Amino acid sequence: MAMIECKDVSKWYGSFQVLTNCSTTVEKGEVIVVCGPSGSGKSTLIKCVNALEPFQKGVITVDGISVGAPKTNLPKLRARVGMVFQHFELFPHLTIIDNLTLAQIKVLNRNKEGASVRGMKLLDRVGLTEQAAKFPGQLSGGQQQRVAIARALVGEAPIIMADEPTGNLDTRTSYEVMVILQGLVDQGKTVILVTHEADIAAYAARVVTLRDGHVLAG
Amino acid sequence: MDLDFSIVTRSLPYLWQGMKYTLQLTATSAVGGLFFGTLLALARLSSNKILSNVAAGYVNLMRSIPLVLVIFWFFFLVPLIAQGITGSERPIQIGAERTAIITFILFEAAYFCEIMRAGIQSIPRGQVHSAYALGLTYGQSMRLVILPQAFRNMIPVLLTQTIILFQDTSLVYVISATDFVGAASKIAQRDSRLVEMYLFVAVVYFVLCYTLSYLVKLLQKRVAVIR
Repeated sequence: MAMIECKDVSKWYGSFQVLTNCSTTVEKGEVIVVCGPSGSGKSTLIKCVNALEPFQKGVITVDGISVGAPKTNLPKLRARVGMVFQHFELFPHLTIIDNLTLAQIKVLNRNKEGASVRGMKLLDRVGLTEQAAKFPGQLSGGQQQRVAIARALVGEAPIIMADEPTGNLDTRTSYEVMVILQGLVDQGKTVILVTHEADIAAYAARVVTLRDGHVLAG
Repeated sequence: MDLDFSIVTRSLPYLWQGMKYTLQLTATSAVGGLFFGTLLALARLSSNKILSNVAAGYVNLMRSIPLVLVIFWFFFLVPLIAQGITGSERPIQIGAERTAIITFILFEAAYFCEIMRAGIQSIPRGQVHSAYALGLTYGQSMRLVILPQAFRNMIPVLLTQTIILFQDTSLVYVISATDFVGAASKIAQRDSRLVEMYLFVAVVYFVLCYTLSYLVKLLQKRVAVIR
């Protein structure tokens, strides 16, 4: 069964069309890379998948739920899709552990203790337990991205989407981040990576290429 | 010129009463203005065009009229409107103190709204996306992610606006409310000691406002380090 299905998706920013009839399918447990040059629409496409950006035409379904349907509970849908951003987007006013427990408490209704235990477990997985009480600004870029990956996993989302996860990192740190993402693939998660770096594309079973808002291949 | 500053020490208890009212009015107006200003800012940033336009209209109206006029209009017009609504024989008096509190909250809300709006817009769009991506609702994202960051950025400007508000409260003399300036003015006229009293009032305002401005500057540096 398809985990994500995009059918003839089109999106405009004002009069500028950024996506044109984009169609692709991602199977459960599959790892795909969405690649293409800057401005090709790859980030916009994955933001449409978890409704961070509205789209005007077409259909997107995530795990059988239609993203564009008016009755769709978007917060619930988004909790099933872990998202990692290029600029990490950790909350700078919260400590690392608070970054990891916020959604667990407010969205998944876990108690503070349970959320903390889960948060520490995930920090352990990315090798950052000692940084739990620090603020994001006190961590290096690579460390922040590892925290961002841990945060995307707090809800045990079956889908992980990463928008240029290594775009702001050096080669060695990029490799470390990719090892963590590879570990998620081994656990059976569906992973979508957006990148314009060719060596990152090598991690994927399939590559979806975008150019000028059109899906060329995949 | 024959100056007698003993008038100041003799009048201190009365002046303190006026100062207490000034401080109360400043604090109440700042808190109320901040609360309604935040709501107005959220309305201005809303995707609902009607809500956004109504909020923008209110803010522009308030920012285009001198505060003293707002106080006057509220003091003289609202009793007549209330009389019209209730069908009472006489205008329903609101009283100088209540008029002052309501008008200052209404007026300051417009200014705080613009500060809040700029503060909210200063938070990168990625933070909003990040909050939504975690499954937080609009309300949760605002309350837990955007506003706490925006407030931190805005603290120096909000405090500066509060200092301006503290100075503006002296305008309540136009409706005969007895604030610090009003109290000093009454004593000055009673004892014909205008120079001594107004000089004392000026010194007090200068010391308080300059000290507060200096503290805001220190805070600004501290906030910049945290960021």
